Amino acid sequence: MKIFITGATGYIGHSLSIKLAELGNTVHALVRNPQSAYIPQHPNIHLFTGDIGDRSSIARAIKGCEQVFHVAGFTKLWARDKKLFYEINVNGTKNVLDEAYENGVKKLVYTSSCAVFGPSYKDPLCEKDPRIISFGNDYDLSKYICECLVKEYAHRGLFAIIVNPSKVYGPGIITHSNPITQIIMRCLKKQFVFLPDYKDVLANYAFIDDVVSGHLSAMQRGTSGERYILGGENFSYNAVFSILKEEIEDAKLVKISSALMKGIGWIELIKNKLTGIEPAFTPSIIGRFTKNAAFSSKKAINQLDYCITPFRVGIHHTITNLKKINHV
Amino acid sequence: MSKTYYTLITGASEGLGKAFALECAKRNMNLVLVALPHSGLHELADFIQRNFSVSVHVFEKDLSDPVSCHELFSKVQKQQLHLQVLINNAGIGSTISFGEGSIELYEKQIKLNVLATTIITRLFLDNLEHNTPSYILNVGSMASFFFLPKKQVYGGTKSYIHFFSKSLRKEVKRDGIHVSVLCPGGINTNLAVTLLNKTGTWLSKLSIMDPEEVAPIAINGLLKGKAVIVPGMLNNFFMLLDKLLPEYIKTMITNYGMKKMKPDDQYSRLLRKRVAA
Repeated sequence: MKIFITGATGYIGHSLSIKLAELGNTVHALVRNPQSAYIPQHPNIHLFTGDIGDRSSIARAIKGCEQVFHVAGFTKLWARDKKLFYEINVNGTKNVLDEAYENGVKKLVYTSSCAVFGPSYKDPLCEKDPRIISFGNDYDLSKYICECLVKEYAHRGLFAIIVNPSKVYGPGIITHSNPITQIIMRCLKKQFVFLPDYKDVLANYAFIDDVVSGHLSAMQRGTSGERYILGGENFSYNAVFSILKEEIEDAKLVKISSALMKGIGWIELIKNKLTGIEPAFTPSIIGRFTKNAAFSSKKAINQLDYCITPFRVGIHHTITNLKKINHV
Repeated sequence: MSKTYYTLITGASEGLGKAFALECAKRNMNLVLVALPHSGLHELADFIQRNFSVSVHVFEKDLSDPVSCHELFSKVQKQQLHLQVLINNAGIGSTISFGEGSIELYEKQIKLNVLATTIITRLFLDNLEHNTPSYILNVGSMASFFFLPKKQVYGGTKSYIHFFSKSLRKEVKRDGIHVSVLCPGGINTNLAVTLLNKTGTWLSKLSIMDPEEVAPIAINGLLKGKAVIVPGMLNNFFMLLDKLLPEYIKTMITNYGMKKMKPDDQYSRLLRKRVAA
């Protein structure tokens, strides 16, 4: 089958396009730079130079494709120009949806994010839960508007499904979307890693292989207009900290108090205002990590046969993989 | 046997009403939530019952129809719920030139903001009187103090709420009912408004608050028996300026504050289309 994919040079898109190619599909990947180091390499993957901001480039790549995985997005949490989130995510998604609709694509899966749900309270959040606080940053808001758009097209008759991965980790290319793997890599290289000390704050960790399979089964079995959380286990930062310590011998993990982190965030923000240098993080990004973000993947488990790899197993697998590739 | 008390919140599915519902649930207050059908009210009630130990009743009706207000009242009476707090929050906002707005919009706005608040308060007055000390919180707006362009009808309805609340307050105080009026500035109440708020000038953007910031301030003020609650430091500063500055300077400021507001922002338009569909 011919499948169109965007975001093939990103963390999820890279693994997903290789999986699709290995399954014997012809993959049409829309990439901005065919020379990028993150290009997925497989004979079944055909590169189309373009951009989701440019409809004609999408039109060329989508021709003859039955399915679409729209994974691309502007995934940073901070940008000098806030408009980028809306131009790339919202307009880009609208372009992909328009082309998919006009070219008679049979099914489309849109990769959203658990960021649209916001923080959780006591119970892990599920798909139909209300958002309990306002949208604090433009990334989350732009992804939410994209979901509204996808639902609108589903309403119009395009078979479109939304998936919401949580914090994804595991083997694959190392980008800012894959911080856990970045941390493991530094630990293996015996470099110091500074982690904020949020103790009991919960987050959800999804293993990349699960997320890729989740995308495939959403395409196969998902209901149009519905969304599915593709997550993993919920753990406190403390628990993740101890698991990493146990799994990696003499890992140099250092906890930093959250007050200090916030202070540094403010300094970074002021530095940015004065010098224009991109901040490493901002107080609002820190704020994001100080609230529980526990999720339940029950709907995907029940309806898509989604499987969760236990966090320890996933971490172990990631470490083995990194050691093999990097000879550390 | 001690009574189980309830807090009734209208317009509870989104924005400030949802924030009120969550804030009251955090304070272990049982809830009667009212909002439009298909607005996610059942999902909110389910979320609250899973996460907090309070009882939640749900009523889905369009309160701009007076018949619905009476139906709400009979339902609450039939279930013998004792109201201790009434939050009249449901309302329709708008930022539109008078000539561009439709008559239907103005009619609905007046019916919901003015008429529904009046009818519901009147209907539940006896119930509240039996459960004193009890509280009524009406959601007004800072727009009732400043004569903003593009807010003619909206500001008018909120001026009514302001007048109604302060006047009623004097009347029912001796019965043990405390009436407060909340007068917030801009709030990110829903997605379209959030996007609209992003288009304003730095001054208006700076004064925008999130519903979850406003709700606790409002409930604290209500329980303390404050007459008028203005949330946010900057908004309070504006109120102070209002007392100090001459009229022509205030006009300059309000005109500047509203200048860049673009209700036809492309993303809002996308969303409005969706709502209409």
